[in-house]
Amino acid sequence: MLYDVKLKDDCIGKYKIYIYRLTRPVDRGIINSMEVLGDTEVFTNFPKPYFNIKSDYILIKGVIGNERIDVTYYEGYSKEKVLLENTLEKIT
Amino acid sequence: MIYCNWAATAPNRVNENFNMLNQYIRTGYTDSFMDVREKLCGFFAFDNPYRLVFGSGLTDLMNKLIFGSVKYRKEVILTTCTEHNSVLRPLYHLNAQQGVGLRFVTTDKDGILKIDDIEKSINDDVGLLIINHASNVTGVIQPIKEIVEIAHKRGAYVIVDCAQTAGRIDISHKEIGADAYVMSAHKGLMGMSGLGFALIGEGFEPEPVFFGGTGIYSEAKEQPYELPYRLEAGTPNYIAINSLKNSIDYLIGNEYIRLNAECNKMFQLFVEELKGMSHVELIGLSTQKSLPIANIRVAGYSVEELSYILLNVFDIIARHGIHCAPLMHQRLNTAPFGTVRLSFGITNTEKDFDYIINTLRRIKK
Repeated sequence: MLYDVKLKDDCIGKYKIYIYRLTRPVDRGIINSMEVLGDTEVFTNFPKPYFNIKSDYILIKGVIGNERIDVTYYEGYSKEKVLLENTLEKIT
Repeated sequence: MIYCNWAATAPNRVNENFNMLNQYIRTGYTDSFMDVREKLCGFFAFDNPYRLVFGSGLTDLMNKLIFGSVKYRKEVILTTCTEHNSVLRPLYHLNAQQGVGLRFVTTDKDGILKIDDIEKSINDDVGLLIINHASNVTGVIQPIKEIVEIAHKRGAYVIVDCAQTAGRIDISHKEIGADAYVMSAHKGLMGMSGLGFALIGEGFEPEPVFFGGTGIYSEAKEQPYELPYRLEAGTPNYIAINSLKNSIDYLIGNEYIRLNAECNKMFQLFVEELKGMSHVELIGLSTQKSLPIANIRVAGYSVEELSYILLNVFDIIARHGIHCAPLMHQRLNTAPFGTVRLSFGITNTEKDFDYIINTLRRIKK
């Protein structure tokens, strides 16, 4: 379900942010699939249902219903990028 | 959408720029922009429109002035920790490739430069001072007139980075007396991106470091020495330059000084509200005269997560990170991740400030 990945160009510090575009909107099932990468929070009290998945090396940010997620890889990350992309590819 | 990213780019005046594009397409507008040069000179109390040089932006013009000022720089170039990478990187390059010494004056913890520190740093080995009028991180406006006076007394030339201050406060060459000022079109002047200009004072003569067509003296092998052609090789950005004339009219017609003062008043009230929020950390906010910029961190969120939520959940455009000013963030102890910068301008309303306050209350964990 992953069809585009772009590095976000910005005046940021020691980390990289990638934008992932998916072939369908993020739902609870997709969030559950990504939970292997870290702890999940869903903010249903916000005007739009924001979620994050965090560990020391990755921060996944998105809004349920959107087809885009923003993923930060922190210094020292290794397997997280491959794991996330493989996970997204497997989801149909 | 609430726009709080003025320190990077002002909200685009799309219609004005579109009109200029239409005019360009119809007429193939290709004069020497003398009317635009004159208007800008009037705006900055600068006498000679031929000494106004257009470029693609602050980085382009700073490179030209820094690399073209070999004869002025002596052993050491003096600068400050408030500078943007458009100044820092050319200087680092000179240091690495040509062994030019660099000396940095640091600020206090709130981003204020002390006149004494400047004075102590300008020794006989300093020929050139490059200094930010206001930091794009803290917004602190430095006492530039006094700094220029001190530098001139010590025989140093001064280039001032006015990216943040142009169009936000009154800048008068007659009053400040610096040797050069470099400005961006797309921030406080509300012009288009991809354009900047430098005002080059009498007696300061940077050499050309970039060569090519000028539209005059086409038979000559050398770059014409007269300004602006000496520093203006290549096809200019016709649309952005002509559009800038309209922007200046817009600012003057809308009493930009008064509007900026109103924005500052709203900003002060906003800051007082922020100070009352235990989960919001307010960084580098000085009591010295400043542009309306607040740097924040919010408990429980990284700065990029906060910035993402503001934009994607609450429709607030802010900017996170170190804002291409690594030394300033080091001084504020916010490196390497930086802050979320909320920077305001004349289009912001009381409603905008209230909305941001309510948003920050709402996201408290």
